[in-house]
Amino acid sequence: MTETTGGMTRRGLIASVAAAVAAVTVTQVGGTLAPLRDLALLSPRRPDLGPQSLPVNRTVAAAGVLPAATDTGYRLRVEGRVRTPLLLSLPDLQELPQSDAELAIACVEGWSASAVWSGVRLVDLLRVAGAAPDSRVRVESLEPIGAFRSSVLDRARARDPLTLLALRVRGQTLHPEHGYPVRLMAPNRPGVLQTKWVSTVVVL
Amino acid sequence: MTSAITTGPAHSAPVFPSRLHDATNAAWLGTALGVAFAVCLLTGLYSHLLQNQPDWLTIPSRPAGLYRVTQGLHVTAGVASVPLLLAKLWVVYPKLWVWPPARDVGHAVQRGSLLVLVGGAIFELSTGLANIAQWYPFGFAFTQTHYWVGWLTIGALLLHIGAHGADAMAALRRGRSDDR
Repeated sequence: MTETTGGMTRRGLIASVAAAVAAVTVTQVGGTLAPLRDLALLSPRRPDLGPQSLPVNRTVAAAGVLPAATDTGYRLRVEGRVRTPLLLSLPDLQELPQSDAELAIACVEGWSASAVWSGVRLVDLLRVAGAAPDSRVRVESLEPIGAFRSSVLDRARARDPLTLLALRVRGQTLHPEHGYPVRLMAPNRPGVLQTKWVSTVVVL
Repeated sequence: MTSAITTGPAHSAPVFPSRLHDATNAAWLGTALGVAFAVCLLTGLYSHLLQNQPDWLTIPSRPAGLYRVTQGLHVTAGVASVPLLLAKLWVVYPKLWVWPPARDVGHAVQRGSLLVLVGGAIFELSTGLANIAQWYPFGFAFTQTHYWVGWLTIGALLLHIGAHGADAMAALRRGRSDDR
């Protein structure tokens, strides 16, 4: 083979590939890195767009839970391996000690958005119900079907004081799209597991 | 010229005029892809474990924001792999025309595993991109398929590194000495 001259050099190839990598990275990573969010052309979600400035994947319409979620007869059930099963209305929950936690919804799709959530610590609720301190917990949604209608909290998350049954976000009552009346928010786990429209807490 | 990819007998081989189809470019692009795929493997396994957690396993709940970092890295490394893979395939595609296609059984197995590697890599990147775009034109479950094809791809990648790792290191050293 003869050595050809002209055309792109090795340095040129490296520079072109590096520029392409930089371009796709910068336009994607804004889905999770807030300072770059205006450049997030390739990300499916801007971290600040949606009700209460938070993105939504599973909508209340797709889940078909709006009637059940807004029913005044709503009760949160706490059951399973507990001394005292609980049945709590929304006002009951609001009267329990309230806590704040700054937690991110971190989607498997690579976007994430952080907010201050407020509500009842799961660990406090488990204490009231008389559950063993190192229990695992399954949290179930009002949603009747769907791959993510429930999720299991391992021992670390069930006893972590950051794990909330959230009633509010950024000081406002949860929007139905974000899980009104109650949603689970726990540290260090995918957004699909942060169960919305919680109906039941089952101590395993 | 020392690092040009040979393309077999001149009478049967197409001509690839660019001097960029060489072993040094294949090596640095392959190294970059290897790093990106390793990031995707580790962060992907972490995400898989969190979503398919065995009852006996407890995964630390702190740092609270760890998952947003690992999953951000997973998607970012995957997206960054797209131009890297396109460049790598362009650099090495003259080798597709190597004649005869296999010298012996070992060579045939090695080329067969390349089919798995290239097919798997294209599959993982395209299904991952479709998922982040929330576009599901395919008829299979995304997460399970992406997970198992990921293992196939990593297996083929290990074979590939076993077959070409030493040559790639040598090509990188050569490239540094005759940097053009």
